Amino acid sequence: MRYKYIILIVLFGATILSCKKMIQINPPKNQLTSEKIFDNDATVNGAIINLYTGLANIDGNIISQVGLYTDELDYQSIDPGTLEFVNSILSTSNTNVSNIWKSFYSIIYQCNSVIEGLQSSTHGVTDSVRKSGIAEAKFLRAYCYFNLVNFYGDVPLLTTTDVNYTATAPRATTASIYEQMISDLGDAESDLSAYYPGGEKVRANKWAASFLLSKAYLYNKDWANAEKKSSAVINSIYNLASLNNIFIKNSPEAIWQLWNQNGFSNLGVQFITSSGVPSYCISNSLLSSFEPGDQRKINWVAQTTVSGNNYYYPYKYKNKSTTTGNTGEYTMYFRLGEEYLIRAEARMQLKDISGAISDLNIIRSRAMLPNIAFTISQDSCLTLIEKERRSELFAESANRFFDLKRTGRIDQVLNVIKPNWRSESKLYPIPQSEIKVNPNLTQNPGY
Amino acid sequence: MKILSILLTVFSLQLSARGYSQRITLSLKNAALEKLFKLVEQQTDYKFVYTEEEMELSKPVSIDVKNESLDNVLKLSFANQTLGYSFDEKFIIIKIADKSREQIVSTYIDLKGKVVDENGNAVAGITIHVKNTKKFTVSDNIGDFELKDISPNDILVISGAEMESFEIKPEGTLITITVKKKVNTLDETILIAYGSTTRRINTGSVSKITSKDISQQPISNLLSAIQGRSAGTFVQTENGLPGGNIKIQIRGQGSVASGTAPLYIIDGVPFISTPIGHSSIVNGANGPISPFSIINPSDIESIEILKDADATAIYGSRAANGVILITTKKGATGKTQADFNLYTGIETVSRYASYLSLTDYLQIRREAFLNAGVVPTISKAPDLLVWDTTKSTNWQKYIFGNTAHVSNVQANISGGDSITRFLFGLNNRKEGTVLPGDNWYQRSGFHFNIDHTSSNKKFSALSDIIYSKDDNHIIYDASAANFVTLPPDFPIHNPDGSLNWSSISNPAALLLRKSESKGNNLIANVNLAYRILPYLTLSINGGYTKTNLDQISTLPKTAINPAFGSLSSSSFANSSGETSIIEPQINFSKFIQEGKLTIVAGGTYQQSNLESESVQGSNYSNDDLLENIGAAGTLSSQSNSFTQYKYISLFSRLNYFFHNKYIINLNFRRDGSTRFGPAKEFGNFGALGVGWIFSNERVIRKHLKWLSYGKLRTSYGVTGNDQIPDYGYLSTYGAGPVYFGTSGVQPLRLANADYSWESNHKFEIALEMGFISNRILTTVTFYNNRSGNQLVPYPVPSQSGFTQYEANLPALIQNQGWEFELNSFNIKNRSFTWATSCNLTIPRNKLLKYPGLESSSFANIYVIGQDLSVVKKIHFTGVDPKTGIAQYEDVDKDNQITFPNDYQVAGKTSPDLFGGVNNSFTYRGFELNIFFQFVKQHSLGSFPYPGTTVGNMLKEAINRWKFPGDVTTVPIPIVSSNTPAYAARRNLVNSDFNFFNTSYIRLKTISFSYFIPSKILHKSGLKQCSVYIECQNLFTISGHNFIDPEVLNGTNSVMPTVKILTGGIHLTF
Repeated sequence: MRYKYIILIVLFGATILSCKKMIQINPPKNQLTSEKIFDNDATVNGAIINLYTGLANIDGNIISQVGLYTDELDYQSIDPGTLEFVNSILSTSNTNVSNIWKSFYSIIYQCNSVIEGLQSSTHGVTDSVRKSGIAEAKFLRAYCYFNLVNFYGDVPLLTTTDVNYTATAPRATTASIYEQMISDLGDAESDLSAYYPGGEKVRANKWAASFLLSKAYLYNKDWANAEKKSSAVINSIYNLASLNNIFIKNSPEAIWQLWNQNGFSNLGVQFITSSGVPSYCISNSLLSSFEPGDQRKINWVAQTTVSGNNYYYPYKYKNKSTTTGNTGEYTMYFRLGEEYLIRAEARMQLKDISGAISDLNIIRSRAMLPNIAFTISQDSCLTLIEKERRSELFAESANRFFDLKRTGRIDQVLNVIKPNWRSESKLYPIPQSEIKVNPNLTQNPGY
Repeated sequence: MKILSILLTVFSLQLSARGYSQRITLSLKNAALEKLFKLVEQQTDYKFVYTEEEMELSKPVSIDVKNESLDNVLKLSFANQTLGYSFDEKFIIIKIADKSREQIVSTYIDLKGKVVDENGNAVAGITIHVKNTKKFTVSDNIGDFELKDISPNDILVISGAEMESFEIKPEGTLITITVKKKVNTLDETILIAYGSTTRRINTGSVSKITSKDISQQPISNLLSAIQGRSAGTFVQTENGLPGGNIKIQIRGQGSVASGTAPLYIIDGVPFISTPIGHSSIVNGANGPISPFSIINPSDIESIEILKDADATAIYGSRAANGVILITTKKGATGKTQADFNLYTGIETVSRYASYLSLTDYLQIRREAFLNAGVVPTISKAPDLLVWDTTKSTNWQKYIFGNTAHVSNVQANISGGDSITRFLFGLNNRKEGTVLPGDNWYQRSGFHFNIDHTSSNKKFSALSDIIYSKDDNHIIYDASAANFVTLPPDFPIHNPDGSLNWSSISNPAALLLRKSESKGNNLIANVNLAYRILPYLTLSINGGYTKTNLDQISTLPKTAINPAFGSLSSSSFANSSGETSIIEPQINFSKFIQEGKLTIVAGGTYQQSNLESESVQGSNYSNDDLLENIGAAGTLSSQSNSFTQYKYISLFSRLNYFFHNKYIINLNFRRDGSTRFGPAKEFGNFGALGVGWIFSNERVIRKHLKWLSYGKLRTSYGVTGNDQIPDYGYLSTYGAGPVYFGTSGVQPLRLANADYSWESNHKFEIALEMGFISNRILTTVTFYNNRSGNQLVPYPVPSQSGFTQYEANLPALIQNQGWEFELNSFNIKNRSFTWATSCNLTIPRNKLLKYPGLESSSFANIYVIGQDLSVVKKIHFTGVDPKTGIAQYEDVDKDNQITFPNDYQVAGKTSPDLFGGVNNSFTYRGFELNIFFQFVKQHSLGSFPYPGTTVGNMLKEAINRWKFPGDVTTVPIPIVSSNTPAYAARRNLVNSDFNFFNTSYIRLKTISFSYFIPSKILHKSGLKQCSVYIECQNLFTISGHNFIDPEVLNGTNSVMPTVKILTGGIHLTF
């Protein structure tokens, strides 16, 4: 009789014993777990798409600020943070400086998350999507690191999402970061198709990887590989466009552009003024560097007169509001014109002067400038390339800043026009807010 | 698991039977009764349970028996005693009995019964004496008693320590006796987690609000009833309109970043206590809807507030912020009776602030222009140049100067016998608002309770179903109260009759924006219990609650300033929350050795889902269709949210009350929760409470005769706080921006599977004393709670992809304080009584430790060593008598006032002390209750710089600086200009100038009722009839003339509480 009760109690007890299974819940309906993202092609595609949207938040800032920091642009407004760029005295708490850092690392985190997710996903994703997805993420990761090392020097090299490592990761050497970039871009180049997914040039294809690879080799002074990769791009599917058609969406020259909904780029909004003094004007130094008759000065520079003073501003992008149809514009990231200049420089360094000059002349002739003779010296060729890059690529990317740094000419050029320029200014400061929470992060010299 | 095996061992020991041969041989002469007990214990398996108090009352025993039965030995020994005894298993429990002598066998029937209180709860320790005989018994711990062999004509005399004696004549052999207990009794039942106790033997800190306290207040939200009535519990109305939220904090803020709301449990079912509304866009002027607004206060029998570790630890991970148990009314034994209660009345705003009169206002504005050297223009000074400066409007009266009507009806039918009891109630409340226009609130619902006990008393079943729906029609804009600062001469209409949109949005337009929220709430629970052994009961409790909220808000064209567009729109939101719970339990209760051992063990399985969605509609063809989502041309801003929460745990409590003096109470809980990651789902919590009723010590009884009751208790334990967002450990993706025509998905957080509960270590020590036969009862409590392992957004470098993640930090918060309670029957005689109860709490909150505070997102919010509600402000040093310019302290001496260097600690907004005083008087059929509530506190204000903007100011502005040499604290009026005075204006609102003492005393409740004498009623068939008048928030005394010092800490941007005056009638048939 009493045993009955004992059995009852035991049974009763068993029902209340905690069982782990009873507290397992499904992920929320309006969110997807990482595992769920990487078990079908559609959500993988969504995760990769999102990598690009991060770039849209920063391109406007990077290009105008770095233009002010060097000798491309003059500033006509009063934002204190922006004035720090003009005056070459960046504070460690400058929000633009920290935004660049934050935005690139945010994309890097997402790239790592995509790579890890796809590598560990076992089913549901087709092999081709897995392969191209990893490749695309590696391409974007390399793009971010390319910018980070050129702005900040040595930076933490993170290829994992594990916060236990990433939160305290110290700075890695620039060389090791390039090594990672080149390896990533090599993978991307071989795993990406030559065709653009969806037909528009707004996602990376094989040639975008080759382009960045050529640029990385160039920056690493690996001239032979730079020449090889740029030739591959030049001999592929792209054609130069006329000056006013380069920046429209999916132009024949475009290798990689950033998509937007309404046919106008952030840069158009930032540079084009509808009335009053433009905030960002082309500097006298840049304006006077154009050769007479350079069509780029005519087509890519606009002028406005306010109170009797003339102001010149970048006019590569013509749209600043919704533009439908064929004249819509996307922000240009990589284009064939720059690839010619990369190859010209690589060839020149490889002592193939005539090859270099012929590439230069292709760009010059589009700007209606006379050809350069094949007989000039290597040194003057170098100067010509620098000048040509300046005239071709101004206010379009951080190229001017990066070029002056890698050729070692930055102090010489900027000391003349920037009284506060110091040699240490060639690296942006590491944001103080980051150092505060990562004890292993050191500040750049001079800050 | 461990607990279970211990239990099993205990049971097996008890279950093993022992022999039964109990013949006694002994011989005593004038020996102490205790001596006899010893000898009997030696010769039998029985043990005696008695107290020293009882032994003092015993008389010497002379007895000489040989091989006599135990029964006869006891009969002989107790023949001359004033003590009685009863058997409980192998224990013989000695009790003091009035005229008891001994048990004599002579009779006809066996009578069984149960003693219950007015609420049907079992009452132990009640003496049932058969009149004119020596027969008596005492009800056991579940209220049961048995009298053998009594005559059917016998009268029973029911008496007990804390009740008036009365007589009844039993009908049948099974009766239920309902006893009425006196107020302020130490032996009143107090509900605690998974059980009940009494004030006398409780080791924890529990405050109780009774249905009587609730019924004296014509409130719509039952949480209002707690205000001022429970020490340590700070109640703040955040919005005075119907449905407005009420915030409760028990013993201070114990968390840096996580929730600090108590755990609410209604009839055993956890209740989602935070507003479930999806988003603020649909909230009306009453703000987020308090989930409690849908609960009918008249359905509530009691609210128990559990505060210390001893009382709360059994709720484990959810107990850190205290627990509030809400119990609904149950049917009681007795003839079926109908109960009808109706009141109706009016509401007005509790208090107006004092603003400048039109003349003073215009004068200050003119001075402001003059002082700045600026010529008023039509655009800068419409109040001076455009509007009719002879017409004045009192905007406070315009916005909330209306009188609202409130009516409340409650009808109950209840009854039953000792087998089955039931209660069925219907209720309806309709309440207007003090706002202009057609705003109203209506709630209706029903309550059904049924309770069944099998005739052998072994099986019982209880079920409650409570359903309510409410409908809240109110103007949309929550900032309506801001219109009190409109200039007195602001005209609502232009001369041409159109709305005046100049410079300020228009209150009449605002009133066109409507919001409606409809709620539904169901609470259902079932409890089944089976007593398998007299000391062992198995039970299972199941419950379910569901709350829905449908909200709509509209923005018609007519309410839009034409300068900013004309696109009318409306927002729709649906939210729902549901919780189901199942809790099996074992209750074990037995006299062991010299005391009573009670063990409760059980488990919980709970699941909660919260879901909501909202959408905005626009492009309507006609504004009449704004409330119709189908008529919207465009739908946008779609959003939804979903969370699921599961919870499982094992709990147990062991209570041992022995020698009538010592109490040990041990709680343990092991919790698993889905709020935490896979490795950290489980946590252990527990507490130890001990009590010593020192007044039962012989030495104290002898020497401190004035002390009728004294208990020292202390407790220490660990509880947890799990009020953090769900899924923090889960790496998930959500919708991102669109790129190339496809919607992206982006990672939402840096998942940290490694975070765990916030733990709150609670310590308490309390001294409870009763004087003059417990007519005066006092409690003094000191508590010290330390919450550590704080869950905070932990900052990480952005190279990690995000800037923070949810993680534990060894930050430490201390909440320490004193609580004083006093209950006293000042006067008590046949026709007149005067009782006072009051409480006072002095809380102190302190952030003891926060590693890395400087680099956290709280760097400028918290200060180590200060209260968590610390206010950092620029220090206003006064007005320069020469120039009238406001002066501030430049802490870093850099000649400018900047953030954060020149900000210093100005004080805190948490209360310095709070409490309440209740006086109740009864004279024959009259009853009067007067209840004051008070708070000493400081609040942030929004007193603007005088004259700067087109807007009225508080009356203090009249003291502004006028001429050189004026010594005043209100600076020079000034308008926008390039002057030092204007430059100094910017800092005024960020300075401690806007930090005010907003302490107040409020006559919270005054109620007066008259019970018509039963002699008169007898003929009418009415059992009881009373008429009453009740007033809520009748007046408030405060040092500052803000609208309402309670609502949102004294700023004037939300609706003040209302004053309610009602009259009602209560009939029982």
